[in-house]
Amino acid sequence: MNKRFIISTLCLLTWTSLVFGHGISLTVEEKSPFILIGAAYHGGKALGNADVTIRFDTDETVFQAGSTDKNGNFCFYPDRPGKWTASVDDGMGHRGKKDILLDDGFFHPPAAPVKEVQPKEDEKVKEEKEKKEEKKVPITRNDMCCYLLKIVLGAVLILVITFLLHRWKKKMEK
Amino acid sequence: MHIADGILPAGISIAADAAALALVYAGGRKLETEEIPKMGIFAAALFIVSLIHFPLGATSIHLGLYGLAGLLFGLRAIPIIFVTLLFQSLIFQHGGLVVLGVNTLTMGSGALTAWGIWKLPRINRQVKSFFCGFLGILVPAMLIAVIFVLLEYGKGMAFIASVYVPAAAIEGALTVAIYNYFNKVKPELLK
Repeated sequence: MNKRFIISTLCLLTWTSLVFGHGISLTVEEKSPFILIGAAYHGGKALGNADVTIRFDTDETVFQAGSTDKNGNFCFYPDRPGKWTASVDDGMGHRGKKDILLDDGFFHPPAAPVKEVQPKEDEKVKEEKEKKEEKKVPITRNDMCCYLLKIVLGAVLILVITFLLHRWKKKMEK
Repeated sequence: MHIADGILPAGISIAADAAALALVYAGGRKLETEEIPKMGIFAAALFIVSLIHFPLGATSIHLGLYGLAGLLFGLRAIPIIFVTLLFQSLIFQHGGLVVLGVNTLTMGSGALTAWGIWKLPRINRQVKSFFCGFLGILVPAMLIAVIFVLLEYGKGMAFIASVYVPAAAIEGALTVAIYNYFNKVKPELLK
């Protein structure tokens, strides 16, 4: 068994564990009367110009089809309560799917109280800035931890299977 | 770069699964006990490296190390790639389970190309290792692009080619560096 080979590969494993991988994560914002979908790679980069398909429950026909904008956003106006499904495909083999459950409340939201005082100009700018910053990083720290844990889990599982296979083969030889 | 379920017709996917399993069997036949840990560790490394994501233009790319797998393990690279893709599919949903055979064959083609290059006589080994890494990622990318073109799906061949050429160059350089390292510390690994 080559110790140096193992040590160097383990170093590679440790180093690469720190780097983020890809895969698609979808966020859904219910903003009656429309739904805003945000698509991003797991690394946080917005998934722009990806194909989006919207379907309602068991309907065979597609409700809406289109593409995300350059920031990975897509918007549609559902017309009835129930289970909606959004599928996003970047055209390179990466796909994401999200179910959106809408009840009657979405279509009949409580009337918003009328604001008498308009927010000041600098407050508006601040809000817009915050929203932009939120969109830049669509994944949370929890998502990142979960992703890293999955990477470690996968690598450990492969190593455990290798260990078991090696032991079994050794026993067979004896 | 992995193909997801539902893109290819079921018949093609199942035929590819059968072909991939046959190749996995061929690659895993008469396995020596001391080869298993090396293959397992490399599979774990491949699993993680494939998850490194570099944003490039409108999309993202990742390293594969399929060329290095072919260079180091020859036909044994196929079971390594199969296991890696299986776990990526199960844990990260990168590529579908039904199309696991297609993905194994496309990614495995990179390793087999590298193996073929590595066997070529009378060529400088550093040059060979570069092309092992370069074609090890570019050949699978091209194959997937051809599949997409045949299915009239996605952004097509020219797009994938343009995206993966710089990635292949990086992978080629990385393979040369790894070759140099192994050549110094344990040359018998590079048969």
